[in-house]
Amino acid sequence: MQISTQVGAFIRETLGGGRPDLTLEPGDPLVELGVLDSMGILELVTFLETRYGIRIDDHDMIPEHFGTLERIERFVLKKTGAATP
Amino acid sequence: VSVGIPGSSPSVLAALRRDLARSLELNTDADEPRWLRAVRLPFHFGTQAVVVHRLGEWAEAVPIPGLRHALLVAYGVAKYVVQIVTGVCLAHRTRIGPGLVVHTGSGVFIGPRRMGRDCYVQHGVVISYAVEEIGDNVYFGPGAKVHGHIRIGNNVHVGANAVLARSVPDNCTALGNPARIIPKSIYREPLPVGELDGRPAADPLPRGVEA
Repeated sequence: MQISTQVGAFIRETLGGGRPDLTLEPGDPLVELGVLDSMGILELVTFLETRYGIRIDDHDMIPEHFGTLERIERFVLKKTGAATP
Repeated sequence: VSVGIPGSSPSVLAALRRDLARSLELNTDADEPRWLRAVRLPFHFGTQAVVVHRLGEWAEAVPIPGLRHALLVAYGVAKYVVQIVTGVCLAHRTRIGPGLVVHTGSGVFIGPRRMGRDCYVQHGVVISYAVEEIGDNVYFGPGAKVHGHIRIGNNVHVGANAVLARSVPDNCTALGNPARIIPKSIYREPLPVGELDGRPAADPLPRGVEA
C-alpha cells in the first residue's frame, strides 16, 4: 500500500476531526480542511516515526512536508532514502 | 498618572490596569453579570498574586529611600502570605509586561528575567530562573515546565505538561516531553462552537461507549 494511503487511513481513523465519513485525496490541503490540530500533528509525527523508522526534527516541521498526503509521502520517502532522484 | 508619590512609575499602574482587565475577562465566568464578576475578582488567587507582584514593581520605583524600603518590606510580607495561600510565586526580579493572567493557583513559579505582554499561565507552571526571555502573548498550559538558558518568542503556545528546555521561535506550539516544537502554520486549531459548519461539536464517543 502507498504511504499516502496508509497515512490517509491513519488520519481518518485516529484524527479526522470527528468526521468518520471524511475522504482525503492525496492533494487535499490538510490544514485548511481542519483535520490536523496541534495534538493531531504530534500524533501524526509519532506515527510516521514509528511506522517508517524515521526521525523528524524541528526543522522538518514545515508546511512543505505536512501540507497534503502527497507531500507527507514525498517527505517520508526522502527521509527513508527511497526517493527517486 | 501619578500614584501619589512623586517620581513613582506610572507604567506599573497601567500594567496593573491591563492585568485586571484581562483577569476579569479570562478568570471569571462570562455567563455571570459583570458586577458579580468584578466582585469575585479580588478573591481570585491568580489575580491576587499578580497584584502583589505589581506592588513590588511599584515599590522598587519609589524614589524616597526610607519609604521605598518600607514598601518593599510590606511587599515581601504580602508576597510570602500570597505564596502560602495561593501557591503562586512570581519572582521579584522578573520584569513582566502588562496583561499577565494567572488563571489558576497552586504550584506556579515564574522566575525568568523578562516576560512580555499578555501572557497567560495555568496551574502547575514552572518557569525557572535560568530562562532568559519570554515574548508577548505566550500561553502556558497546566503543568508546563520550562527550564534552561532559553528564549521563547511571541505568540507561542506551550501545551499542558510540556517539558521545554529549548528556545522556541515566534508563532510555534511546544508539546510533549521532551517538547516538540510545531509551527502554527502546519495545523489548525479546532473551530470554536458556532463556526462548526454542521460538523459535530465534540469528539464522538469511541465505538461501544454509550452516552
